[in-house]
Amino acid sequence: MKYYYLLKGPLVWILFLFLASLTTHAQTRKILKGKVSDEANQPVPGASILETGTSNGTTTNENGEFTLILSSSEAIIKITFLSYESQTLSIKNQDFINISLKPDATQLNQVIVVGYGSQKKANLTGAVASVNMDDIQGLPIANAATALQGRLPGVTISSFNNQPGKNDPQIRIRGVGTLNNNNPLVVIDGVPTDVASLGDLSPDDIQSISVLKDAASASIYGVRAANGVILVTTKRGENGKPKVQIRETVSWQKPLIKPDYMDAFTWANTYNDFLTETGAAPEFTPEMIQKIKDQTDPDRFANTDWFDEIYQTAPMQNHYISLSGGSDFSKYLISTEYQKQEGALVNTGADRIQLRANLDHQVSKAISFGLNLRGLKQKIKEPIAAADGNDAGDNGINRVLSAFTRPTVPARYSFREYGYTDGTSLFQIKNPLRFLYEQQFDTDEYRLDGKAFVEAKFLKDFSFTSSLAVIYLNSKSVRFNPSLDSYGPDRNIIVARTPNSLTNANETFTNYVNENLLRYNKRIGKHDVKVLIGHTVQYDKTENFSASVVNLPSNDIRVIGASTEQPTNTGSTNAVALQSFLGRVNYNYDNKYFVELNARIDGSSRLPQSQQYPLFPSISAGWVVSEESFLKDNKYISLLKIRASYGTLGNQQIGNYAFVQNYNLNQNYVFNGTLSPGVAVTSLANAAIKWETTTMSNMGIDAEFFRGKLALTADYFNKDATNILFTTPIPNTLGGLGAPPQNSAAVNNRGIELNLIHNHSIGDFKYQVGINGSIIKNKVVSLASQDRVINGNTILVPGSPIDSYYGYIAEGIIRTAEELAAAPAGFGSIPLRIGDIRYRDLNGDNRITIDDRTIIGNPFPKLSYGFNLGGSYKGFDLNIFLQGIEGVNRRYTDLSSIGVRQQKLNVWTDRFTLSNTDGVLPRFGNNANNDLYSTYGASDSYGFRDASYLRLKNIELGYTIPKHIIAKLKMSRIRIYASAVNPYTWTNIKNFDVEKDATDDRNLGYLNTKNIALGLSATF
Amino acid sequence: MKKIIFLITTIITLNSCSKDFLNEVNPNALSKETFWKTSADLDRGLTGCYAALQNAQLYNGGTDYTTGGVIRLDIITDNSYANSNFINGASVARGDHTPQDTYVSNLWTGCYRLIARCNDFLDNADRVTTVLETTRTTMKAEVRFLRALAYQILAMTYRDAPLITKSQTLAEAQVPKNTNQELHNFIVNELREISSGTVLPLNAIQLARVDRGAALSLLAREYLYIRNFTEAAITAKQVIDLNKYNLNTPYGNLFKLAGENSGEIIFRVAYAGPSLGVGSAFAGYFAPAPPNGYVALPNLANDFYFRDGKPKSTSTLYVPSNELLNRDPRFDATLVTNTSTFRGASITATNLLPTNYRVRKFTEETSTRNFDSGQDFYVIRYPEVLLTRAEALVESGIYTEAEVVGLVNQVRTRATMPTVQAVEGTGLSQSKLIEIIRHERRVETAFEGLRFFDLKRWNIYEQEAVTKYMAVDKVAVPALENRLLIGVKHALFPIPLREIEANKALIQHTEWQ
Repeated sequence: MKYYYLLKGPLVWILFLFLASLTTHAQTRKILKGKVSDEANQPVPGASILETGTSNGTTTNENGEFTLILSSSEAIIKITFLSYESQTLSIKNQDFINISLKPDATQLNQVIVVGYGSQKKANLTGAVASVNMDDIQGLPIANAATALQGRLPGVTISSFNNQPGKNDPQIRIRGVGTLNNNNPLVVIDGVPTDVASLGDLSPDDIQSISVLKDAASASIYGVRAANGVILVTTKRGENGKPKVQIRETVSWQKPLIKPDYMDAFTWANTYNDFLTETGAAPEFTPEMIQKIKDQTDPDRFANTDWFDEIYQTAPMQNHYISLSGGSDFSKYLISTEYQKQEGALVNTGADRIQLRANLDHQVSKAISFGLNLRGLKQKIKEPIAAADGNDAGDNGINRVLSAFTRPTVPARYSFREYGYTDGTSLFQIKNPLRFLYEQQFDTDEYRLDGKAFVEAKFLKDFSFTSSLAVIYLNSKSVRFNPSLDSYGPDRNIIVARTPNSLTNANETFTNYVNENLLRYNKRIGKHDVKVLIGHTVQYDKTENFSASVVNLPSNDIRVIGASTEQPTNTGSTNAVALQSFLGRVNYNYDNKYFVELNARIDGSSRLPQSQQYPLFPSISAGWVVSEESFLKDNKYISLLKIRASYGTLGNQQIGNYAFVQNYNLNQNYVFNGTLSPGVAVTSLANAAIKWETTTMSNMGIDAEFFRGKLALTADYFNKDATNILFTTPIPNTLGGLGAPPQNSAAVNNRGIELNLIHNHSIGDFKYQVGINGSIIKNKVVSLASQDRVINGNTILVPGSPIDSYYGYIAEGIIRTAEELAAAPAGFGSIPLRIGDIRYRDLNGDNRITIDDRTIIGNPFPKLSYGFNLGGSYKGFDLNIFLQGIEGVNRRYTDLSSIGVRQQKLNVWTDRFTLSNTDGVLPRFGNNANNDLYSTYGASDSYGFRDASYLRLKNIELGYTIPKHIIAKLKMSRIRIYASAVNPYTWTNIKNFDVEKDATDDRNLGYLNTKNIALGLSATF
Repeated sequence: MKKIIFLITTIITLNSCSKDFLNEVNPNALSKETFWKTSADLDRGLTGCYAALQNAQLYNGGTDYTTGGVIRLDIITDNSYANSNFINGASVARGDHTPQDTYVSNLWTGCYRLIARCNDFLDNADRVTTVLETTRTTMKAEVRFLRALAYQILAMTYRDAPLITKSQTLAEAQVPKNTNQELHNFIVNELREISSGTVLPLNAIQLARVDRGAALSLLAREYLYIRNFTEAAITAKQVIDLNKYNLNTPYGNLFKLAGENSGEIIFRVAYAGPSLGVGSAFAGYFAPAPPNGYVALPNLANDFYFRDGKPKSTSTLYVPSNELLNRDPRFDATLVTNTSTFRGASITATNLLPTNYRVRKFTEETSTRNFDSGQDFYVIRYPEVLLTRAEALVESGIYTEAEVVGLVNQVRTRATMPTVQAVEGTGLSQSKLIEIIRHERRVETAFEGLRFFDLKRWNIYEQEAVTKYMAVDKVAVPALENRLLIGVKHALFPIPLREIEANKALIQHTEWQ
């Protein structure tokens, strides 16, 4: 661990300076110096200067200055800079030149990364969203993918799990398209991978992120593109002096909410009341209550705030440093990041260190090559009991907090042992602190990935690129559950220790991708043609094994060889191979009419040979109306483009080897008294299994008004997923076999997306306002031969969203004898009383049964949106970002009773009792009826709720120190900033996080946090 | 330029994938295509067939009390009572079950799982040509025995069911049911073939595998069930004449781990454990209380007589304070009551709720893991064969009292109970003999999964399992749930609704429509 500290030590700096010195080259040819400034005569850093017809080029430094070595004293140079009009100038025997750039009327000259290439935004005919990385770099969040939340219309990102090291958000592009795996494909620097790989990238290393949403843009990724594609490009070195960038962030993460649980005094009284109401004797005597109040005997009558015991305000730090630069021939970027995140749950956390080197070298005018290398080590610390969600032993930390603790038990006794009981005869609790502090579950992850590539230009219009990428991932974990006694307040052992146990697990993922692309670009007059053909192969392999033993000689010995008792071992291997052919033709006439054709043929080992090579074609077209004579010089409309696309995509996440009929192992029997290994068919394969097919049409508009002050992008899409793998019951006469998944269900998503940006500057004050949003309607279209499938409290039924909430309609609390007489018989065996909930009797049989269920809610937001406000004045800048969802439901289970080990919210003091007949919550004592899965939501804590929210995701105030001050420090830029993440949320849900997984009825997710950060970024 | 062309050609050449690149083989399971090559494959396939016996839906229970197959059949008779509504069989016993009943569908699936595995083995075994044909014939005969056993259960519960004797594809699985007659004909033919000559060895190749005695015994049971008494008596005699089985083990030791080597076990479902993945759930329980998922009924307890061969009502040996005293030793071996010791200790009354009688038979009293024991389940025991011959002789009307009584006495003597002559005397009528044999069969084989079939074939199912239950057990223990008289539907399992929905050719019994 010690080497982490080297980061701050002198050694690293010496190393960087040494590297930097290597990059200076002596040059002898014609030297041109110059300065680039903008319309306000401010220097423009980062503008690129290129000598046309050569590969000579450079970029301006922080002062807008550049030095370019020209091939001769007469040359033509081209100056380009994002959002500014490019200029071409002739140089004749000049040594110095001043260049003034004019702002580009449109932002559409922005270059967007698309599949296997890049395109000017103006030339796009598909639906591609991209995010401005400046907005997310430096945010005090641990996962780069989380930073995209609310910034891309049509892309719904949800942070359900916020556990350090495991906090990959759920990403859904244009709705939930299948009943199976909905994760998008993530492609990092051309290498197909997954969301987790995006999450552990350093945000500072990312140059751009594009999301391919429609069939036209995504079909070039074929059988993996149905859930959308996210393209990530990392930064590369640029021509110029060595540039060092540093970012230092420290932040504090506080749990986003704290449930308003009863303190011990209220809890004990409520528990007594509950017993009295149900005709039993109170458990807490007046003396006990007094002791709770006085806190005179904290070992027996404590007042424990269990939430505060297990949650904390946790620090996080992130250090990033990069060195980049280059000459005409070689460019480099080397970076390193160290991030240490302590968890909001005590004794959980993750730290990671990573290195990157992106290198480019130009061998000749025709041939160049490059290399990307990345190494990462991450360590995750957590308890064995699930920190996020629940586990088989019902020991999930949040589950234990809400359902297995009570405030009268101390967290620890005065003699330091963990608390389990109090001075009553009530049953022992589960102590979450012991799980958190005593169990060991450490995971070490190692990642090494790299990509080597070569590009050759030939025959004037052709270029050929070949690359080989490899990924090696290894994850090894140690799980140790110690052997410990549980004590009562009198140091008496109440549960004796059981043997300790140890599990060692190891998983290795290896992957290689080889990609060969041939490009042909030709411009003849107003005709512009681009052709791409390619061939790729990919091979992924996952191997894992684990071993465990119990009863190690001591809790301090944690190696697998230390015991031979009850040994178990497991292991498996999975591999996937893909071979693909892809092609694209772009045609553009006079930058006015655009047509693009894409196609990919994907050969996959997951598919049976009979249909191993599916084809995914798409077509798209665009018409730039504003280039037509009738709009050409319109004062208000500077750009108007209409786009349309249609095509098919595939989803091959159907499992490996799904088409092969297997004999399953471990169908064992006992002959001669000993185990005899056997095999049998236990589930039926579908020999004709194939990919899921998504057909999508898209129509869109890009428009800019008032010379770019207002930009609009709007899209409508209709996405039909068919051949979705779905299992229909099969006759058990086949042998009680698992039914084969069949390509038989269909789902539709339709929606509109809007993105609106307004930029303006008034003197030194510049500002930007952005709004984006999407409305998506999801519905199941067909379930093969089945009318509906009820799965617990959700239902699949054609015409309604996937997994719609299915339950009862509550009509309120029965408050009078008349209402009681009129109410249908309640659910469960306890006869209804006043204070119980009355439900709607849908089938009119005057009693509430499972037949009275109906669809009561929607698991997906109907509307997702984000607002962005940014402004700067002189050295100050302020950014505000809000994100929200609307039209979504979640269930917040809270039993209408009080268990002996159960936290209770203070709102339950206003429950119905005979002395409080106006209580907003139902009476205690009839859970079977009062806690049905229903629409009832009389308070903030109870039942089924509208989970819409608007969240202030981020507010950031920065100050860039004036140049004249930092010039003395030989720095070119220093910005200091303060930032807050999730500081405020507008929602109806108060006691729990409104943002949670649709299936998480019990609020088991690792809590989200509000963060406050201080940061510094410096360039020199 | 030449360099570039060279580069491109090289890369393309290097990259031309072999045709097999996309043919990934699952390394975690055996593929059906490549299986059935070696003798080890044959052994594994055979083991897989036997393994289906251990399924919770057939001859085991789940890892709680809920699921169960044949061994739960006693719940729907006068022997036993499901202590909770979620226990498989509770609803069938009451008579308020529907074709959606879990027990009804579980038993169906349990039987067809075994049948489908056997069909698969029989269809493929001959592909393993490296093994002697005689070896394969023997293995196939074992598998045919297992398949016949499953069909016998189906025929005795669901009456009519699809007779499937070949592996099916999904498309081929849309089949109608066959008649009860067709099922029984199949069972008889199969068992006759495999029990003749030396198809099956006299002594099983390995303990727990099928041998000739098992096949003959199942055939004798089959003849008895289809009321072919002449053949039943002859076949039972063939088993006796093998001179292979004995009753040397004291009854009290039989249903324990130590009793598994007894010379009377003709066919068993073998288990081992704990922690081997092949344990019996029915023999495990939440220690130290005796199993509480299903309990014994008072009327069964009453059927265990005293050492004088007389029931509680007439015996002078009955001591109300201690029911165990002077009792048929099979009482203590089968049941647990308030004066019993269990796991070496006495029992508290709450652990005997609600009937005061729990089940000891097949319950491993030394178990350390819940629902995971090494205790075997005995499918066929020699006493059953003796009593089958006795019953078949009397029912056929051609018998000598001496032989019949001698057969019953063998069973009684081993249980250290007095002979028929000593208790009931001699010169007994045909109906008296039937009564004696039926009583003996009940107390000897309670909780071995035979009672339901016996009541059904004797046409006294509702009379005993409902009427007598309501008159005796429900009166003795008012907390017990009511049982309903629903007629022929009660002892005729409906075709599971799920099957009718998944197999359009299958039609529900008219009684259940």
